[in-house]
Formats: sequence, C-alpha cells, structure tokens
Amino acid sequence: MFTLLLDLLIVILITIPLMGLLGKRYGKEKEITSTYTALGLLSAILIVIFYYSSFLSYVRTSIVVSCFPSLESAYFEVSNASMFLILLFLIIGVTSTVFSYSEQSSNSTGFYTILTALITGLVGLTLSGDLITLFLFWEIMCLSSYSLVAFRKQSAESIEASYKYLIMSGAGTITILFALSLIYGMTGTLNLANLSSIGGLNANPFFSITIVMLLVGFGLQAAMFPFHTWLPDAHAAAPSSVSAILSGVVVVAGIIGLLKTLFLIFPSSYAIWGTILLVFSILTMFIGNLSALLQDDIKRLLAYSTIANSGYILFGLAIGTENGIAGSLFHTLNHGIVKALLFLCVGSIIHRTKTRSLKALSGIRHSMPFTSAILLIGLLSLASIPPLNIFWSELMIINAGIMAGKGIFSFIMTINMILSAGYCLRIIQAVAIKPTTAITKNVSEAPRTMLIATSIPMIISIIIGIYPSPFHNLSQIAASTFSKIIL
Amino acid sequence: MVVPITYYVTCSVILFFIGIYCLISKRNMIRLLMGLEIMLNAVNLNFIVFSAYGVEGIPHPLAHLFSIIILGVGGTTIALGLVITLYAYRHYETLNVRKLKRLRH
Repeated sequence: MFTLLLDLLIVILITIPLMGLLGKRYGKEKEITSTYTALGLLSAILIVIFYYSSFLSYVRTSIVVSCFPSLESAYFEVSNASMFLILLFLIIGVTSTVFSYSEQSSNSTGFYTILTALITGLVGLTLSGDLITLFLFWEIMCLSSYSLVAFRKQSAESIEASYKYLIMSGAGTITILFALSLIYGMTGTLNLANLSSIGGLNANPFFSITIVMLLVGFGLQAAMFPFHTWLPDAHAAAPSSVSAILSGVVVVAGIIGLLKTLFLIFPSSYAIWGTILLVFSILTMFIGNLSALLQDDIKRLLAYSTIANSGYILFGLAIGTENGIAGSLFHTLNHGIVKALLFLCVGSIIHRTKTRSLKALSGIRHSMPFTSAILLIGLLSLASIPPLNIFWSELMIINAGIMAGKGIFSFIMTINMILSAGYCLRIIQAVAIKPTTAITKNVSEAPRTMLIATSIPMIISIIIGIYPSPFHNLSQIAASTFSKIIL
Repeated sequence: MVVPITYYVTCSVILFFIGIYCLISKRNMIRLLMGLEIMLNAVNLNFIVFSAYGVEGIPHPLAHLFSIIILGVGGTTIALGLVITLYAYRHYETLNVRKLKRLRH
C-alpha cells in the first residue's frame, strides 16, 4: 500500500493488541508484546539496510501511492537523508523497547502499541513527499507522544506535563497548518517536488508571514528558544524509555520539518530565515546550557541539555551550506544515540533508587558499577571529549560555521561546549567521586535487560568515536539531498 | 457579485488570533481546548476559500480533502485533551490551569 517499510510498521502496530490478547490468555502479556515489538523493529532495520540500499545511488526517488499519479496523490520520497534518519529512529526504538521490558509494570500492550505508533509516525514523516502526508504522520507522532508522556496516569506530574505539551504543541501544529494553507493559496499545490521546482514565490505579501509561521511551528517541536518551556517538563515526567525516544528523536521531527519546508520550498529567501534561525539557535544554546547548570533533578538536567543540543543542530541548519547541513545531520545521529544512552542509564538508576535528585544519587558507582560506567562514557561524550562521538559532529558544525564566514557564532558555540562540559562534570563528580548516601548504599545492580539496552548505544557511540569517517561520509551524502537546492 | 478573497483571509486571520488570545488569557482547561478548535477552524476556512478561488468556478478537491483530514485529526486531539483534562481534574480537583503548578521549579 505505502512503501514496504511503512507497511511493515503499520502491520506490526495493528497486530500488537492481538498479541496482547494472546499473551493475556497465557498470562505472559509483557513478554510476548515486548518480544514481538523488538523483533518487528529489528526486521524493519534489516529492510532499511538490505532493501533501501539500492536507492542510495539516486539522489531522490519518489513513490506514488495511487493508480493514477497526479499532483494531488500522496507521495513518498526515499532519499539518502531519510534513510540516514530512519536508521537512527529504529535503532533507538529497539533500544527503548528492550529497556522498557523491565521498567514497564502494567498495561504493556497499550505501551508498546503507542510506542510503535510514535516510531511509525516519525518514519512516515521522514519519508513523506507531500505536505498532507507530512501533516498526517506529524499528527500521529504528536498524539502518541502526548499519550506516552501521560502514560503514568497515577502521577499528577505526568498529567500536568502532558497537558502543557498538548496545548503548546497543538498550537504549534495549527500554526504549521496555517502556513501550509497560505502556501496552498499562493501556489495551488502541496506537493514538495512541485513546490521546490516553482520558486519565485517572493512577490507575495504573505511570503514572510508563512516563513515565520513555519519557523514557529516546527521550532516549537525542536525546542527553539521562546517555545522550549514544555520540553523539560514533558521529558522529565515521561517514563525513562520514552524520554530516550522523545529527547533523542522527537526533537528531530521539528528539524526534519524545517529541512523539508524551508530548504525545499523557500531556498531563495535564505536571507530571511537564515538570520532568524541563526539568532534563535544561539539563544537556544545559551538557555539550555545555563538552565542545565542550575538543575538538581537529573532528568530535567538532561532535558535542558537536549535544548542546548537542539540549538547546535539549528545552528548547523542556519549556516545553510552543505557542510553545515551535514554537520547537523551527523550531530542529530550522535546526539540521539548519546541522549538515549544517558536517559536509559539514568532510568535504570531511578528504577532502583526511586529518586531523581542529583544530591541523593551521589556515590552510586559503588552499588551499580556497570550502569555507572556506561553512564560515564555517555557523559564524557556529551561533554565533547575527543575520542567519543559528539566531539566529531560539533567539530563539523564549528568548521562549517568558520568556512561560511560566521566565525563569531562558531566561537559562541565553543563557549557553549565548555558550559555543557561543566554540567557533565558535575554529574560525573556526583556519581563517581562523592561518598555514598543512605539511598545509594543498599541498591543492587540494574536488571540484565536494562544493561543490554544501555550497552547498545554505548557500543555505537564508541564505534563512531573511534572510526567516524564512514558515518561522516554518510551524513555528507545525506546532506547533498538538500544542498542541491540551496545556494 | 464575488466577495474578494482578502475578506475571507482577514476573517480567518482574526479567528486565528481569537484562538491565540483564548490560549493566552483563559484559565479553564476545557476553554483552552476550545481555543485550539477555533484556530483549526480558521485554517479550514482558509483552505476552503483558496480551493474556490484557484480556478474560477471549479473548486480544487485537494483542499477539501485536507480540511476533512484536519477535522478528523483535530477531533482526536481534542478527545485526547479531554481525557488528560479528566485525569488532571481527578488529581487536582479543579479545572483552573493556573492551579496546576507542581512543575514550577
């Protein structure tokens, strides 16, 4: 019906409740649903690797979902960039599924169904080739993330965070829709390939309003500065396996939206949106890093660090050259993997100690040595220490900034990297150096599934850190999808 | 006599800002959801108008399709919002959104 990958994901999504029924009959609901979801996502990864590698020789391949292809039918586009991002989504999806096996205690059927819906929405959003499809999958993704944030409905904090997220993100989505209606009014089409070939939209008075509305709407999901307030609440209140997906991947959805609309439809007006994006990305970095320095709640600290890293990615987009976009995509990959690793490690610590306060968690390495070791690797990577992966992508973005003549902003980003190293070292000090407290003395090591789940992103992080060039090349190829159009 | 397109667009922009005003100033949790609904209707009005004015006399079906999809999706969003509002009411025993402040750090 759709592309092979989306079909598979939708079939898995529909059959998880059936598996849940089957599992209830034998009294093994959680085991059966989680294994089924993990196997389904793994087969999706295999499809991406073996089936779609044939597409990589082309720059973009359109797939039409209709018997009679016309401008009005639904389009899917398989490009290098989308394959690159989809691999990241699926890897983090599998990791969270494995992790949530030990974390989730009740209603696992509902949880895995919504989790798969979230990943399906993200994959469809990345593959979409026209703006209606993009909106539809965007809304699937948004609705499932609201419900995942509110999943622990017995805690008032989750419900409050989810309500805040729903209202803000709902307003953002409608702002995007308003911009889409203006685009439709100006051109009469919503097909991305057609829109990118039109150009010459400049004469219209609604033009700059559309750009600002797109920036507000997609920037809200990407936690851009004035609209970032929902993120720390939502990411801290969600279950840890969900926070890993939200922080690593759902933030990227906003970036994909910006890439698809601004870079494909409005490349000629780079002067307008490039400047806005540049200023607000710098502000986003500072807000994220400075707020993270002050936090005591460890999940909120990581959530603020997500805001800062989203600022780095937006800065890469604002540079606008091919190197800048490549750096952004590479940083998306690295940050997604490292942030998933950190949230999962912190999740397994919280699972044992039942506290999120950094002061109460000091000296945890004595009682949970393996989890703390993995956590330290993730923190060192987040602090951009050279042989680990985040350093390379930040270097790429800074380099691209200098080459594009925006050296001052690159310098500001370097200052932000020092700030981020500050809070990473604070957690390292609390975890590894400070003496144990009453809470951390008597806990045992995390369950084995949690250790497996956290070690997957750790291994990927170390591999990218030691041998970055193939991933670097992949992101360069992926960026060429967008940079064909700009400049 | 044909009504100029700018009248309709002005009307939808006004509706959109009424929705934003509702989101900013109201305190009732259900009213905020109604504000979202008003903004959605502004978008729908825009789509329908643009579909009628593209080619004279022949409405473009794409926009009608999109606005039906928007109505459906908007309905699900509001339904989810009402579910969350219900749980919030059970926890806080009020619908005043200013009273929801366990997260203010």
